[in-house]
Amino acid sequence: MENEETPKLSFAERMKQKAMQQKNYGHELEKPEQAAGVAARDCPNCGAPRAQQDGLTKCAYCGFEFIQTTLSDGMYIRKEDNSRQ
Amino acid sequence: MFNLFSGNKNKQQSEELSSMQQELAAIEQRWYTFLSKLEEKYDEVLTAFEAEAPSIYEQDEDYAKRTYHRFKSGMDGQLTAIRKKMQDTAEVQIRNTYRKYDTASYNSPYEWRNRCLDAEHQWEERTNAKRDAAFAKVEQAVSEDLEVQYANILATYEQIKNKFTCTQCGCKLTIDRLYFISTYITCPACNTQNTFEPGTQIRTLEWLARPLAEHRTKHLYEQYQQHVYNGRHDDRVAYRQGKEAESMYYEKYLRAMFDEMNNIIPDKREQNELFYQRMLADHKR
Repeated sequence: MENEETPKLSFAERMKQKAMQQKNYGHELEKPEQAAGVAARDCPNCGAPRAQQDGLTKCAYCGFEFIQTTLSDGMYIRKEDNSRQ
Repeated sequence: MFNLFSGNKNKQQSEELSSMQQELAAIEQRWYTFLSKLEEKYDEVLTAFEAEAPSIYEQDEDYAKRTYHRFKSGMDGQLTAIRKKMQDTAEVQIRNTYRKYDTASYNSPYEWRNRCLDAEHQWEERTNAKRDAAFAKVEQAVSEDLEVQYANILATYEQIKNKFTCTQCGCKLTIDRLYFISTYITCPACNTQNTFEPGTQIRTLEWLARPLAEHRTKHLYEQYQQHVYNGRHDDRVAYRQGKEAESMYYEKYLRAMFDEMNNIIPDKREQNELFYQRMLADHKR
């Protein structure tokens, strides 16, 4: 009885259904789409903002470590962006 | 001396030959019918693909169109399975039968084998051409969509490039180029490092660049394909000349394709050049 009620799908329709049900490897699509924006990260320790001349990795005032790795040359980030102190 | 037994021997040979010919004729007939039925099945899969693929592409909300690619690869798998079935049957029914009767004598079914394998070869060529044409037809619609997506990204960039201000002092920030990944924008007044997030739509530019560049240089790729050397390997001069021409057209296509990619995402020029060198080296290998 159940079979009679279920509409028979063609081969391509079954393939389509499978393709749509399969979970994506990696991450899912951001929903809703994230809009472009700007933010600044202040030091959570002393509240100071990060200025260009002080580098990106450490707070110039209290030494808080924003980024624990040493930066190397990339598309937009350069070695010079490491904080000196 | 009296030649008493040769009559029987000849008769036996002639019977054997006749039975072999009957068997081969029956196999050949079955083989052609099998190929034609298999081609019908092949066409069915292709027709279903052409009918369903564009709508799947349209409905797919994923930026990399992964559902569409899963569907495409599933359908392609079906086509490969049909081709494999044909090859397996050719091995068992044609090649094995030929080996059985190939006695290096005058009645070796050499021509029979050639006829059957020619049919196999023609079947493969025909179905491959059909497959390429069907995929190209769907991909054409898909590629046109890439141009639309790219135009939308450029329009979005134009809208947002002067929209932001520094979160620290409120000074106007200029997004001076099409950043497709998060980056730091320095405030011209207070030097604060603002993190710019380009948003989901602009982020897809990185994945769009290559298919779009390939689409724009498709005519050069087709030109290259026409010059792929398929001639004899033992004629050294012809082989060298053929391969040189093939490499020249490939390089021409690849250079144009990467130039397009560099135009679309100039910030990845350095990485693209390394990729170009590797692809060129792989082709020459």
